[in-house]
Amino acid sequence: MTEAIHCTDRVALDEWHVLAAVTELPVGVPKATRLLDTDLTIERRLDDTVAVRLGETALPVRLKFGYAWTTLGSPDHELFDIPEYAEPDRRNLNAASVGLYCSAPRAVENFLDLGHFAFVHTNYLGVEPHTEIKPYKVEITAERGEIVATKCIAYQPQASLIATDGHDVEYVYRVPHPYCAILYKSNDVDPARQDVIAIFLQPSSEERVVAHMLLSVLDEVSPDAAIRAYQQLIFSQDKPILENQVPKRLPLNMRSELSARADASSSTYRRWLADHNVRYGTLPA
Amino acid sequence: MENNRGWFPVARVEEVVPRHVVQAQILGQEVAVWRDDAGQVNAWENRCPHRGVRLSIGINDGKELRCQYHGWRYASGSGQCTYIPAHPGQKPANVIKTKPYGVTERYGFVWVNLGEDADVAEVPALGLNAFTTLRSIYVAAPAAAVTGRLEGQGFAPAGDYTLEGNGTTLLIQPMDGGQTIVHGLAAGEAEGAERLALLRRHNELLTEVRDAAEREAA
Repeated sequence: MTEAIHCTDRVALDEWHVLAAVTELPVGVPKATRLLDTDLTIERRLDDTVAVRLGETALPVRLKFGYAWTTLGSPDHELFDIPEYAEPDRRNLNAASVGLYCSAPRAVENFLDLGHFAFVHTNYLGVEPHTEIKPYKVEITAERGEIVATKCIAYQPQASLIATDGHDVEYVYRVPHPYCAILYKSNDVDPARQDVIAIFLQPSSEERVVAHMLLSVLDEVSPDAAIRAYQQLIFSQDKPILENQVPKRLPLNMRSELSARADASSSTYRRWLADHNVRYGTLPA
Repeated sequence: MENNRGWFPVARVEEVVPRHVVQAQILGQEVAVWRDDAGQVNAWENRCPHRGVRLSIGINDGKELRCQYHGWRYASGSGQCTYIPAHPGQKPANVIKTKPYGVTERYGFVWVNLGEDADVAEVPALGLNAFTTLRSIYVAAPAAAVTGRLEGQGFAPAGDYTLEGNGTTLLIQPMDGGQTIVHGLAAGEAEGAERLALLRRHNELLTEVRDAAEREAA
């Protein structure tokens, strides 16, 4: 087992990264995992605390949203928050932890994207001829410097497991972390509230990730397995697209790939990565 | 010697069937090859200019190639983007187009040239009026190693990436630094038992070359 840290990107090193859904780890059995090209072990103890080690060295651990997080550097900030996660009537679960042959930024960008619904998630999250993407608003918040996209509208034939007809769904997206994104979409039970879905990418390498997907939804009827299965179906439609993007690292040069107005979130994310000097998983501007 | 530089066979003509997209590779560059319903063959850089998705997983509708990710459509011939479904009322900007490469069909193969102004007249003249197409063989070894092995089997260089010998012309397609395809043409139109014997002989010879080259490269 190598003990060296094989990553030189200061921004990626000084960040918190997800490693696993805590309840899915075996108790008392150290498990090998990989972060930023660096081999680690993770162990869930009897008392549900988690230890992460680089060789013999214990690394800092945070338990949040049901996941274990660590860092290889010295973050000057704590992990972002998702206040809805604490609401008592929510179903919080890990939908899946899936290996993908792509970079973390390509996966984030796919998560933010509205334009692919009709083509990749046909008959679920979109369908032709309902392909038009109306203008939406993208801004960077003053408090935490997060990207927030609002007023994102998509016509969805089957917006969730419990949706009964096709209708317009409103989305809000947040990008609080280079490799994490959160979406809020109108809920099919309570129009005043929103389902929350988050994607946390564990970059094993620059071109290989594990995507951990958090669901925090309002659904009192569906069994966990059915909620997970729906989300896994959606994700299985994205996987072959993500693994066929060339190059795998996200180009931050705005001329490398051509954008339309519907790509406002993606373009903002690329500029935000460049402004934050995120080099791991990207190609320089 | 000079006249075939840059032109490489990437597929047999009958592999590039209607409503299909073939993924090919030359010198490390991936190419999406597809035929429109009028018969014209296109060879484009294998990525959508929008978000880089391989066009070889796209849909050939007979007139245009449609990207799987966002449904952007590209016209046969020019590669010009004709439709962006996210903005159905707007004409896509002229700069939104795929990168077309030189392409032509000759000797039963689709030939591709990565050069921008490829001249079809420079496709190698093989001096074959009648020919029999042999099995194309993939070898997981560099082109130079494969060529070296072939020279030990009675073939002699007859131009860049071309060898002749044993009544056969071999055309080398260097996919990248470690992968090569050997295409073959035998002079004359062999038929019946003669054709079978020819195909078998070629297959055995090339299998031997492949196995040796792959053992060495491994």
